[in-house]
Amino acid sequence: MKYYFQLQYRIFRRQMEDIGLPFLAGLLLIASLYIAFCAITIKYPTYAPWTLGYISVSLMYKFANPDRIDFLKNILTRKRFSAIRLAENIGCILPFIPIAIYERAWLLVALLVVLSIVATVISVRRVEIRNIPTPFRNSAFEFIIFFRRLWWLLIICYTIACISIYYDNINLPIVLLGIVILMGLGAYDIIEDEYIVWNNARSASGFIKNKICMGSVQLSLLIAPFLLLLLLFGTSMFLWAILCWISGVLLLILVILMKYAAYPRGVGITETIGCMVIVMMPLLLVAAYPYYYKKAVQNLEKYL
Amino acid sequence: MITIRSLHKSYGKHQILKDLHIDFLSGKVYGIVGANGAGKTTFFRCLAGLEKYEGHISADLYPLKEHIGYLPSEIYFLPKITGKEYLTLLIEARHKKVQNLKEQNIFDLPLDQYVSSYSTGMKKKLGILGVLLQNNSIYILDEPYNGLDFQSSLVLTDIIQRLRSKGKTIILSSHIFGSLEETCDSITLLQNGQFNVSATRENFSELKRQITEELLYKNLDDIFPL
Repeated sequence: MKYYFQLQYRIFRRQMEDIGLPFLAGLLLIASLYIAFCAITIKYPTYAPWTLGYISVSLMYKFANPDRIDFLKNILTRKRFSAIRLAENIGCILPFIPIAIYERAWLLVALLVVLSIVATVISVRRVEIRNIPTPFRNSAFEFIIFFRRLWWLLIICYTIACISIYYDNINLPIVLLGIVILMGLGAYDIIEDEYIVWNNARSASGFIKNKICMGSVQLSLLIAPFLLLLLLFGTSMFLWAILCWISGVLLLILVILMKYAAYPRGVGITETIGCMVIVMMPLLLVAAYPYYYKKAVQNLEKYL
Repeated sequence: MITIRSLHKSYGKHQILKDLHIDFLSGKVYGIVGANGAGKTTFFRCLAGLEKYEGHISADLYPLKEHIGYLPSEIYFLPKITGKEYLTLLIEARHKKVQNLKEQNIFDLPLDQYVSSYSTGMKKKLGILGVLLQNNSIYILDEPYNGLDFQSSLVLTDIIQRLRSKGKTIILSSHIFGSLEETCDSITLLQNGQFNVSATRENFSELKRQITEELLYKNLDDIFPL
């Protein structure tokens, strides 16, 4: 068990160093991001439980990759497996528990603790016998995979939005709209094989333009139910919803450009930080778009 | 010895394994053949304790899982680890002492390099080496010959024979009937989730003929009649 955690530490260190970040600097960066996150959460307490819950569950989900779980189950004894998984899950929620306690979000604390224990005992390997129908089946793969993975979460978000509108809470649909946009952007985490890109009968710029057009339409489709709800029942927030939609599409374009600028490796910490800075100072998009577009085209020309 | 009785496995309404009965004795090598999707991997996963199932799998070793060395057909590697670290993790996980890995590196793998830089064949060799160094009593090898070069295939066949002489139980699957013929004491055909035919060494050629007719010509004759 000790060796497993030593190995995890080494892996973490290598991942950081591979993106050109000295280990200590990386740790400092993570610490500063954590402090900034705490400050933002404390400043905007209304949405704190949602944000904390989303980040903790996303982290736990990352560690629950079925292939990884099978590998650990295969090599470890049952007792060691459970101990390691519990430690990992607690590690995922631990940084967020103090903030949740500070915010007195007791239900969230209880839910996260229960979830971390349940995720230790139960691991689900989905074997899909039937295809899940998706509205995105005719276009680029990112949203197809995303939809098939998270359709249930989308249904929950739409349902909660309807319920909140029924109870005259028109703020919550905006938050949910933001969450769905973030989920949609997460779809670009999936790195396709070089062979898939090579197979395209498009130029590098044509490939990127197609990805952007498709992505924008697909993201808009996903958030259309929120827009419709707010247009019909929460007109005062409709303009905010439109603003969120536009911001989402602008962010999507940036994410696509960053993905293919870094391709075939995944988007690293430097790009993520860049993205966060741009979110805080949207005017930087004027410089970021041409910069990443040029880099992405140059990069894709190797394959197309 | 492993005894399997009335083993069933299904995903929802889709039944993968249907009423399997088989015994695996110590000091024997068993081959499982079958078309893609016949249920070989699911069967192995049930044996390795990675899938829930209906029926009984019992053994004279307890807990069975901790005596099995399972090599999946597609091996998972943690990101950014070297070959040496992978082997150490596998050995440590079974409470065994890590001895000189350089001497035990029978496939001459570059153990100090990241596994991600290995070729498909090298990854397979590393997986096989890991399972061997765990020194288990039972070996379940899912498609161990896939991706191996000629020389490594010969080495693997030799290793399997040595393990058999040490009294270990080896269960393996392969698409290449020839590789099973050389190593196995018994070969069983898994078809549509059922063990259809089983043959011992002296009847391998008859089984091969039967499999060729069943799996190959039956389908080909429909599409490309002579």
